[in-house]
Amino acid sequence: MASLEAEVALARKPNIYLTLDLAQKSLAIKARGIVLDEVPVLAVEAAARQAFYFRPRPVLLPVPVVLEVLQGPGDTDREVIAPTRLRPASRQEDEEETPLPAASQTPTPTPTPKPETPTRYRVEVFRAGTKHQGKAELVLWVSDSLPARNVWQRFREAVKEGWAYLRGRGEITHEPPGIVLVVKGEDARRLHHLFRQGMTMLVTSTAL
Amino acid sequence: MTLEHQGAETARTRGLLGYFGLLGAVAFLLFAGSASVLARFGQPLTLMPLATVPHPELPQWDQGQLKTRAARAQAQLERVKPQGLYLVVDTYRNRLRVVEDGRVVREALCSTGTGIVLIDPRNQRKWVFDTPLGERVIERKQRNPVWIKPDWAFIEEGEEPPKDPAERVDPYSLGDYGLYMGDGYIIHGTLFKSLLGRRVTHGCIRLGDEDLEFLYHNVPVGTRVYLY
Repeated sequence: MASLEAEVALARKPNIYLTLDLAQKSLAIKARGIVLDEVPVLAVEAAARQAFYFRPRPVLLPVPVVLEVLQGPGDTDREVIAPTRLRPASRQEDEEETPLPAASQTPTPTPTPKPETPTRYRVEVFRAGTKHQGKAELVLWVSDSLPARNVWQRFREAVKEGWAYLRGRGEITHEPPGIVLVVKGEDARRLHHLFRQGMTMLVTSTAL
Repeated sequence: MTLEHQGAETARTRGLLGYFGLLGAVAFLLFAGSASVLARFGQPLTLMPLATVPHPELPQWDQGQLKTRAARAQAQLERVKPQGLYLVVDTYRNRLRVVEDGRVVREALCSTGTGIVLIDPRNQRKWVFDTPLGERVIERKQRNPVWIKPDWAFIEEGEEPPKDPAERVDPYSLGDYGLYMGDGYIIHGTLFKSLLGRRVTHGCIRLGDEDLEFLYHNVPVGTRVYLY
């Protein structure tokens, strides 16, 4: 019921929103209450930075909750065209005298090289309706596989951070806890551009 | 070599092995000990199952209240849903779907925005060539639309925008029909049909001739468009 009421509030606005059902492992792209597309979720885990010697504390997520993107790959992963100077526009009469073939009218931009859309990226989110003060409350990692985090890897990372800290060359990383969302690579690419500032995601768990 | 010499040699080898073994063990203990101390300062990323709990701010409703509120929310949700005909544009796959009463009646290949950022070298003004996400409405339709080229169309080519408005008029690029969605975003035709299915536009949606004609004749003004 609370999920439905939260969705009504989102559906009243003319924006796209996402709904993530943790129990059903499904992610839907919606607008005005209709499902535009669905993305199967392969796994959902929590991730948090914790001291190595402590037993992992579970990340508790109160649901339903509406998360809003503070910054995502849709904001940052952009090609840029920045001409350094402009020449006078070619007059139309000149063009008419020497008509160009259709294909050569294609814009010839010189953008900065853009890497292929990644299948692993990080989205900073906060609870919608709260003041974020530029800081993320939660991090959403979208990935095509669960990152391997065995004891040895965590130990190695802890030693590396500890060494940097002792040498005064690093700070203990304070990062908000996160949700790791594992989807197929193609689905991760498909969602990439949707994660931009202001995009909202309703997280529910139908089991509750 | 006498037996006496052989015995002495073996004893010396054993001694050396023992010495290096001890040295190795001490080095390993020192290394492992230091690493264990260092590890106390680190905060490695740890994966764990995600536990969900009911939101603590939720009021405790009884069953009757829950049912009433759920029914009301469901009715509200039904009211905001689009009725009849609407368009859905998938900007990743570059597909436009015409949906009527929840059923896809036509699917077309289209081209959408590149997402490229263009910067004007004269004043650092920026344009982002995104197809907008969200809901739009077909505000008007036009046969033989004319494109009045904005500044970015020249700057992108490395040219200064012309002062004479007549030099901005382009009667060919938009094809035979235009369906206007506001803020300069149009569903229109294209000269570059081989680029359909790719993200190559400045935010508009390009369609092939037949699909565009279908839309022009079958999609009334006021139709909602959902872009994602």
